[in-house]
Amino acid sequence: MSTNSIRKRRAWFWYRMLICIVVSATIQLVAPWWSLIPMAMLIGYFTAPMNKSPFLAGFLALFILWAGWAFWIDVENNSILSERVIRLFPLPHNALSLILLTGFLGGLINGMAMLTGDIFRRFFLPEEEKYYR
Amino acid sequence: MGRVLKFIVCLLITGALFWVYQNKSGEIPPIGKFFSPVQGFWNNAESAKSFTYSSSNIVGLKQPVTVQFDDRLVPHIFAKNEADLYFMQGYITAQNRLWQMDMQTRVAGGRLAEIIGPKLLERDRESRRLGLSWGASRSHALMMANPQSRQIATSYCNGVNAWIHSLKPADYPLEYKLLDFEPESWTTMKTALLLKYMSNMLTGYETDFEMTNTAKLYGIETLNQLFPEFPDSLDPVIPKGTQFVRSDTIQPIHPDSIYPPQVALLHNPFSRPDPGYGSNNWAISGSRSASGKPILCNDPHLGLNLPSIWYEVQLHAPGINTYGASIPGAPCVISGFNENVAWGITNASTDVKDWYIVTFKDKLKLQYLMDSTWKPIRTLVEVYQVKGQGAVYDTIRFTEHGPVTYEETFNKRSETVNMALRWTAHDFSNELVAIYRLNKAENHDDYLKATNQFDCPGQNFVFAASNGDIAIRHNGKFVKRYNQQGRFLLDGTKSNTLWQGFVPDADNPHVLNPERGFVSSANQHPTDQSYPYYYTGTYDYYRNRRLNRLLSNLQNAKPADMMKIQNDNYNLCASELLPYFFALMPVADFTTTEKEAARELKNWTYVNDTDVGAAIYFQLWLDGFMEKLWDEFKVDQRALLTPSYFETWSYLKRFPDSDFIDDKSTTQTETLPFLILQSFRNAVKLAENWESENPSKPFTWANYKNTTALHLSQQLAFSISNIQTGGNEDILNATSSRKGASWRMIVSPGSDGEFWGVYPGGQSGNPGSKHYVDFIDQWAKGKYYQLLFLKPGEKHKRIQHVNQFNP
Repeated sequence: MSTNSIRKRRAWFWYRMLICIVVSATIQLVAPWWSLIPMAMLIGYFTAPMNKSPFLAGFLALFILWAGWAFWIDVENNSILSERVIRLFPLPHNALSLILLTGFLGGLINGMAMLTGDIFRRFFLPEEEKYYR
Repeated sequence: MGRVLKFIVCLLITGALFWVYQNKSGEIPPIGKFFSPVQGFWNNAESAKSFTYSSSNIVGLKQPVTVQFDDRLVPHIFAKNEADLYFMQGYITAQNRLWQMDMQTRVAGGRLAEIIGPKLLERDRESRRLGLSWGASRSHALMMANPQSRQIATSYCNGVNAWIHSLKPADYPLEYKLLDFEPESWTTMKTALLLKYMSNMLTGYETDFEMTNTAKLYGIETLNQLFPEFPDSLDPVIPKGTQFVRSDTIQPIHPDSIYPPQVALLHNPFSRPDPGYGSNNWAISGSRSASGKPILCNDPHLGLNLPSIWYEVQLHAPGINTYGASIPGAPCVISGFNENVAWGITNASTDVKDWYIVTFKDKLKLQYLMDSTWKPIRTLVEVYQVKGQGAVYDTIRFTEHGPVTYEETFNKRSETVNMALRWTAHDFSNELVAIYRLNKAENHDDYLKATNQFDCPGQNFVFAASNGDIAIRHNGKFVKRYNQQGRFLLDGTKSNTLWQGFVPDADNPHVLNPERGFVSSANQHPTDQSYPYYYTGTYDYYRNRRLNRLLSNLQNAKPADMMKIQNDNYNLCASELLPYFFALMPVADFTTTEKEAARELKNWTYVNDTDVGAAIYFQLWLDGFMEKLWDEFKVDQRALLTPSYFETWSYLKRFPDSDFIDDKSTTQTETLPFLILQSFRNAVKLAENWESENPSKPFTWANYKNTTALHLSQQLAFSISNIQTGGNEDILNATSSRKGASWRMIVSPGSDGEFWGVYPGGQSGNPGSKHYVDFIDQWAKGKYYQLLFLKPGEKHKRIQHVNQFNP
């Protein structure tokens, strides 16, 4: 494979992640939280024909989105809420753990959804592309 | 093939994740819904910055209403008519306390299993078997029949609903998200239920089972020695020597035996509210105050909960201007003041709840015996929609006494006894109209007329007016009892044990402007023995004596002196018992720690301040001593009650050689000095254990007591533990580990009056608000806020947010 196509593949990882962040953020403002699942599946299906890590792209997208969103809320709130809610969980009792947990949980399901969409796409790819690994 | 498998596995994992993220499993909330920054708990994080002016339209209002929020988030509601006033009270209260209102009415109405599941079914059955919702429906009928209370309750209800219906799921209070259920519409019935929730909290405690079992085990004479009905050194609400008039000349008729019917020792499967739900209130006349005007004080002692049981509010409309503590879910102000008068409440503690042993004809339980005839049973089938299980039915049978609450179908008891409950909380009553009239009272006459309507829970209503009047009244619907009626279980097969009427309102103990220049109550006996009606109850013997001692020494008192009294940590019990313990304690070969503890105790000034270690030794010593002394009162889970600290002390003074002193589990004969020494040594050991278990905490009373304001969901995450505060039960600052002054108010009524208050919580019920627990530090330190009693149109610098609502 050419250097150019490797670079392209890497770039697609970031494009796909950014697309996911934008789409997911928009849809969640108007639809329930789970709307992120079909969105990630669709993005997994339609983008990044050569991307190797669909799970990671999906995970990072929602991790950044949810953790970032939570962080912004937490700053506005002076961590009043987060320092109480985190005590529900067996984690270090600080706002940061709750923000990271929020990002992780969002990332987990989004990564799986994108992976699912990505695999589904491969059913329709020509034979040689299926075995690029 | 591998691809298909991989795809299916991925799809299944995503699907499984979706299911877990969308559904509550056990204690874990639906993760996706809960953590989503848009619709989950993060959305409940309020900006820590201040609000600004805003204006909105609400369907249901008649005219514009202005709500000014002060720096403590207290709403000052200015309406142009009363319907709008209570509408806005409902709206704003729901805005801050919706989940709490919902939960408390679910507790009273026995509807927790609907949202939590089968584990709370027995608790729901208990609430409904106690007849709380049945009583609420009767009181609700009366509330809606009276045009005043109907308008207030309906407007309030509409206001609550206007708020609820403006909410999207993302706006629901945090607790709904955690427990995964939705708010439902408010009803006027829920307000009635909430008032029954308070009735149960304040009149639910009685000792009929315990007294009956004690009488059976040890006889009536011993019982009266242990639990004298009028002990020495009584300091009643109405000063001793006051002349009482009995307007009702018909004496109640006694049955042949006034003592309990013969039954086996009984269990009592019902949880009862804590008898420590007491309170203090008093008013001093101008002769004792620096300003020459009366000062009124009130601190109701209730469970320390979050969100706090009280919600502060100012209500203003033509004809009404009042400020004080309200109960979320009920309109009006419960403990507060207006431009002319102030009032406060303490629990009357007089027994209005009796158990009748009934005899069913056969297993079908369709008829019961009454004076040699079989009377028909009325039945009510209660339906419980249990989450995850569907409908469960429970039949409650009624005799003329009330619901047959105690029955073998409940709580798997071994006894075959059935008992019906007669309780004033079941009766038709309209406390709302009483409170409303009190809110509008202008003078002593209005106060009497208003309190006449207040039936249950009976309260000691203290009163002060800007014209200089002070008064107190032990008021409620009290049973006209024959001697001993209601102290024990009653024979439900005889009509002559039924209640024969009630004490006329005019005969309820009352005093206006007594010579001593103050009126006070702290849940003690309302009167001395000269009162012409028999009554029974569970009364306090320490706070009232300490309070009256302090009040009778007051001269030129200012609000600051009143604050000191409300926060007084003097342990009268210790001051009486400790010298007695030391006088009797034999000389022994003490260890160094024991010597040190004894020295600390001897130097102690009997003050339960936060940083005192001696108070821990004393409490452990006393409790250990009580346990050893009253070992006879532990019989196989039967309902028995040990004498209180005061009753114990006064008993031991009279019977120092009592047979109870001997520990029956040992062969030797224990003496009082032996018990005192043994429990002292054990107390020192327990104190050492506490220290080694809590290495990071200094050995102080506050740390040991661990006062906690507990969130209603029992979640420690939303609770505040180890609040640094002194006091204890039986101390004026009655703050124990889970109970305490739930609202402290000090008021000198009038246009130039002084108004102070604080409560252990905050105006917002939202754990994500800076107003959730912002008063707790101030409260713990015994400090107060100056309450803003605004005039219409007044612009005060402490007003932070003005909200204009238009129709």
